[in-house]
Amino acid sequence: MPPKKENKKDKKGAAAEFEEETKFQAVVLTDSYQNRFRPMTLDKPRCLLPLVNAPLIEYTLEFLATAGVDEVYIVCCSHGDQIEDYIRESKWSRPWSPFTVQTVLSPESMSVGDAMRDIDTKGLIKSDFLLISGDVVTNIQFDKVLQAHRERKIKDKNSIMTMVLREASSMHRTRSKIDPGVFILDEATDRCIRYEEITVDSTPHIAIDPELLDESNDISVRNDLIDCHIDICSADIPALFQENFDYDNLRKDFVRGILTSDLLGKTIYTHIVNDSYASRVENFQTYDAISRDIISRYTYPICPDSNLLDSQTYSYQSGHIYKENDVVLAQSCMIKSATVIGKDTFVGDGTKVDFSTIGRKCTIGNNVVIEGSYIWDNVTIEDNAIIKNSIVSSNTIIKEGAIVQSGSIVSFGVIVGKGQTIPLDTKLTINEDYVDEQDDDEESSNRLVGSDGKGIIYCESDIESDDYDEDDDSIGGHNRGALNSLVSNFYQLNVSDVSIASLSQPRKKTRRRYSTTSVTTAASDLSDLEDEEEDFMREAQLSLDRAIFENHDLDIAALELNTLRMAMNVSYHEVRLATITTLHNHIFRLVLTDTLDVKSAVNKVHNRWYPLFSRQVFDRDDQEDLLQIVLDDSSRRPAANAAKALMYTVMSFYDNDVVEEEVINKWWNSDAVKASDEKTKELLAKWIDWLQNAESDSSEEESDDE
Amino acid sequence: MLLVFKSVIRDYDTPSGTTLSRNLTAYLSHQIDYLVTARPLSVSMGNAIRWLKREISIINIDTSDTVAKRELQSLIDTFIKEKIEASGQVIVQSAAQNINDGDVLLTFARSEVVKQTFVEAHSQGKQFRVIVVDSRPLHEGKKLVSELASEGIKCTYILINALSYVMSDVTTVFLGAHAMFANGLLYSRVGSALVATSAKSRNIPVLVLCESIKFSDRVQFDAVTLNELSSPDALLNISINSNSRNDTLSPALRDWRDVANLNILNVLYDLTPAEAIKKIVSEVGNLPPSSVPVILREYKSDYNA
Amino acid sequence: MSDLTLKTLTHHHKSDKDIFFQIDTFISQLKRRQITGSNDVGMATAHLLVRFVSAARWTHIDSLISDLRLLGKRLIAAQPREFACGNMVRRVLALIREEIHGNNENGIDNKGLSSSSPLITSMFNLLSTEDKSIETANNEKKTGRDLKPYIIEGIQELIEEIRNIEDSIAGMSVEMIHENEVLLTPSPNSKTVLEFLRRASQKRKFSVLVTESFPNETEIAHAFAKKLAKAGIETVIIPDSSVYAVMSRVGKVIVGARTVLANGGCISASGIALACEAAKNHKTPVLAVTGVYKLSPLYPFDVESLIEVGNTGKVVDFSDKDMVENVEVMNPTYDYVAPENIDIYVTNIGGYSPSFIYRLVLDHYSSEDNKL
Repeated sequence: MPPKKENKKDKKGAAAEFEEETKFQAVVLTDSYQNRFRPMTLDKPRCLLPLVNAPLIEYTLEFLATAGVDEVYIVCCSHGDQIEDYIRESKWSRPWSPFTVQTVLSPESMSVGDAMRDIDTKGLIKSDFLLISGDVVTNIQFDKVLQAHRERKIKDKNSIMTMVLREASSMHRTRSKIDPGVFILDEATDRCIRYEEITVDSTPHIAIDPELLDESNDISVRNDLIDCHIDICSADIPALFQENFDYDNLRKDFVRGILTSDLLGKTIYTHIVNDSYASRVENFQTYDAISRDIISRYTYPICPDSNLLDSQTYSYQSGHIYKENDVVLAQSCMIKSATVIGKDTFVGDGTKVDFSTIGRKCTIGNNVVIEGSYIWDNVTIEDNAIIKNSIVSSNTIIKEGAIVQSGSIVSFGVIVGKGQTIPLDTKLTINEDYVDEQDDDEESSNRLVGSDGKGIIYCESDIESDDYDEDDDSIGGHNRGALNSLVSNFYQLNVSDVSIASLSQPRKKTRRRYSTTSVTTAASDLSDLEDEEEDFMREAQLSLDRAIFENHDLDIAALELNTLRMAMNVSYHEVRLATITTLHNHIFRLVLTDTLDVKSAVNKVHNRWYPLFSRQVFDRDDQEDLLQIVLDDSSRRPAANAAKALMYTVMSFYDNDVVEEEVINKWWNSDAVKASDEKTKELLAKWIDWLQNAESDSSEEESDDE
Repeated sequence: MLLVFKSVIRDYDTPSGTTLSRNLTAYLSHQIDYLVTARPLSVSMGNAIRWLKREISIINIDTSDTVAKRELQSLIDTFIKEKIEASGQVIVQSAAQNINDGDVLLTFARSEVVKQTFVEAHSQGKQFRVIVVDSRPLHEGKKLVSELASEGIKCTYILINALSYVMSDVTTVFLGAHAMFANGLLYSRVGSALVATSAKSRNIPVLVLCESIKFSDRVQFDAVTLNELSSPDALLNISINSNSRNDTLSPALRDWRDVANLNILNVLYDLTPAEAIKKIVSEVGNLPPSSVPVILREYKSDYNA
Repeated sequence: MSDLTLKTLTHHHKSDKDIFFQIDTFISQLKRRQITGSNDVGMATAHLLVRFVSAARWTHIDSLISDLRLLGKRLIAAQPREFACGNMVRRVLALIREEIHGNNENGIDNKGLSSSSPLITSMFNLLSTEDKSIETANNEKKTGRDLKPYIIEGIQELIEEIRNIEDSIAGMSVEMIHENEVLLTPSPNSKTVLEFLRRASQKRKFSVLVTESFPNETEIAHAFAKKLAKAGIETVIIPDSSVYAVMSRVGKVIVGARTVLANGGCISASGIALACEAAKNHKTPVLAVTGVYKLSPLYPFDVESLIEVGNTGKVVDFSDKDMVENVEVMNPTYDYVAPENIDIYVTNIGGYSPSFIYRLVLDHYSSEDNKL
């Protein structure tokens, strides 16, 4: 019956080579090394903030208990003493706790990397361990995951890590909208090939190294996964952090680093869960979403009525309502659906509560409206107040008739004065350290909380600003950082959803799974002509790109192109199109990165690669076609440099005898050119003039030479 | 289906030596037989065919083919408009009157009229809650519930096993119909009978929304005698997404065909007893189930007129 | 968890610590739903009680009783919808009380543990005294510590009872099923039902319709059907929704129960109530097979509080964003079956009509312990 017996059994089943005595260890990172939960985290560590009336870390520890972990190390950074005290007093330190808990204070660490290095220094880890952040809520069956990990380890000695991911959809409410990760996976083995983080200001596409496509057969690019930061790591991971002291962030630095580095030769796998719940409280948006998930019992058996804390006495009522003992509800108050109410809380007459969580010892007056909000412990809300989609922390008072509008965060100890209105997405705190200096704080905040109130507006320090959606002002029209501060909801979030959705549109198409085999045979069996052309374009560009970057021999590049052309049965026109597009891509890359100016870039590229055209351009019609392609191409480029580039390209064609003068003249007079924009014409006109004059000159010179 | 017949008639040429009214019927019969091989005819299809044949047979022998064809085509158009589209709207209007503020409504699977009724009542500003009961393997209710939710109607979604858990709160049950039999029984998506009888035993009124074209003069006692079977393999997927790419096959049943004595039965419809039905809302008014044969008689005389 | 203060145990004693450890481990396992199913929970509780009683030291028997009540309360609080632990504690309490008060009335004591004698389904059987009462009569005068071995023995017998439950119930199956009958069972998770049918198939030929109990136990249901088929029984799997459609062909409905309540109703897996209702509509008899240890002295005043609500993610795929965000979804895992929808309870001590259950409750529990 005691859990130990079970654990041993599990392990025996898992892999024979693991001795029974090996203890399964887990490292819990309590700190996220971010400030997303400020201003609350100024006073209390994040993992002790209540989520559906139980401290966040309880959910993680509960998972570890079911996962059959034997030893838990809790790494604390900010407010480490508070966490230590909490753990010491909790049930996890009792003798019957399913695992031993030890808190590791690491106050000087500034990042996950630092914490890992600290762990390595202390030499705590002896075998494979579970690295988990202290804000995970999950009910996955861990033994399956562990078993899969161990089987993989036997197959692939270089596998050092398994990341547990939950399948969702890209705009799922429980998926963080700040820096969601994109995973590129090998379909067959679940091996993670690349990891990219999408920041809001990054370009809406990710670059995939073509070599990746060669390496494996089927890959999928997925932007629909919830990264719940449950990783099974091998024992040498802390050491890897030690060796690479620039690794700070677990995903952005470490995972990317390992995957992109050829030297280490390590592999990372993923385990995608689609039948149970897993997610992480990363910011206020996920705080809201996960609270709702817990209340709607997606996390079963981790629900309010399983009473994670011993002192809790929640029981369930139809409509997802949970109440503790000793809740006093007035006769006429309306508790609608999906609500949790803690012990000794009083709710007055005519009050409406919907989709909310109310902590212990709260006093809620008459005719109050609470919707979609999280009221922590010891909160007094006086008559006729309205609170919507906000978080109200412990020991606060919302006075009579006050209105707290959506997205607001009222931190510890704040008092909102009588009849005051807290506007959308306001963060209030009593902590004096983080006041916006530019504001005339005293007055402006007094204006907010009223003369009988207490509290000031918390302003994000600059460190955090890069986390925020810079477009946000244009989107929602409210505070920057709205993505994070948006406690929940509806209108605003929907608006910002749209903006992100539009960003992610082009990204989505990459989710289509395509298979690539070797370059030459790819898609040769596709019969659809259009498809072939598209494929050809892609393949040809890839092949040329490679040629340019790796500085291939010209003949090889030409040969490859020719093979492709024949394999896919396309005309020379496509070949020319592909060549020009690639070369110009390259040119503009050089220009954009300020490596070279337009003229030298064009000359450099064309002088190196013009002989390609000798195998693509055979008569005057072809030459004309080529010019046309160049013109079309330039019309798609950024206007500033396009005209110049076009001119220099045509010049280089002329200089290298790719195109004959007569053709240029003919092309110049064609309708297409006339239809092009003014700047292009202006530049070209000069040159054509010169050309026509020069011609006579040069013929003269030639004759002179003779 | 009627649209197809319309084009069949348009493309039809009377063979020489016969008259249109005689030959077309036989001609159509072949098409109908072909349809039957694809899927058993539903009652509404049968009724429509019967009506069409009658219309054909009463065409005056003297009318020219082109005129007759044009007439038939316009008749079909009016039939569609009257019996299917307009009757749907009439039902929606009258059924929506049965919804009051504060009601908890329950429906099973997915019926277009039922959905329209809820949407209509919602647009009239009525405050109510809808419980959608769904069942495996079709999960039709899932579509309904997301449609209703996107209209802003407050919805609860459960599977049929949870029915008795929620039944006590329900004020009215709305069911769609596949057919109404002449003995007052409702022939509808399998599970409807469970919902209706369970409501009946708690004295919750059950309303059936049914166009009169679905009334049938067939009589039947239980669902086993005549029913439509669906593929047993549909039950093998135990994932909750009927259409998902990650089908999860039940591990125990992977090889069920090899196990002697093991069978899977997946019927599509069942019969709800007339006592369980409070009233039928159709375009000819609100009726008790016992009035179905009366309406049928009227129709017959209608057709004969 | 340390708030459990038991007079008979001290935190200082080493072996006592061990007991505390076990109690708390068991409680957290209950909370995490690591132990589920009335059979397993009942077993585990009984084992825990054996250890508890053997470790306990008392001067007066009342302190043991109050301690047991406290323990029972804790266990029930850990998982209020798992009745087996409460039942076990109550059974043990009744046993102790009986030991104290002796048994002079020579009567309505039926801890009869089916033993090897063939079961008679007559109700008069109930009144026949069994050998136990003689034993207890002898202990009449003994108090305090002396009772310990008897209590432990009593609990051991309880464990035996649970262990042999399938056997004794299955023995009656032949009487209940006739040749070529069509049966329907909506509770494929019940081991008792499986044994019942298997045993019957040795003598009779019949076919069984098995519902899927989607979404909570579909996999189990499929495996159950396969087991039946392997045992040579003609088995048909049907979706839950088609229960009514096939009911007209069904001769008997056989259900398992998680808990039998004092009013004769029972708590069972979700979907069963519906099947029983459909059976009633067709006047098809419903048999509930259950062990006596599942009897609970409680009345279902608040049905809702007896029903566990399970994982919503089993009804709606969590990645289905629109559903998760906009629709309230519920997944109750239990059902309450009203007594009028059950025709007969087949238990290890015989068959009883639901209206008689209250009497069985009186026999097995002492009424002082109904509320722990």
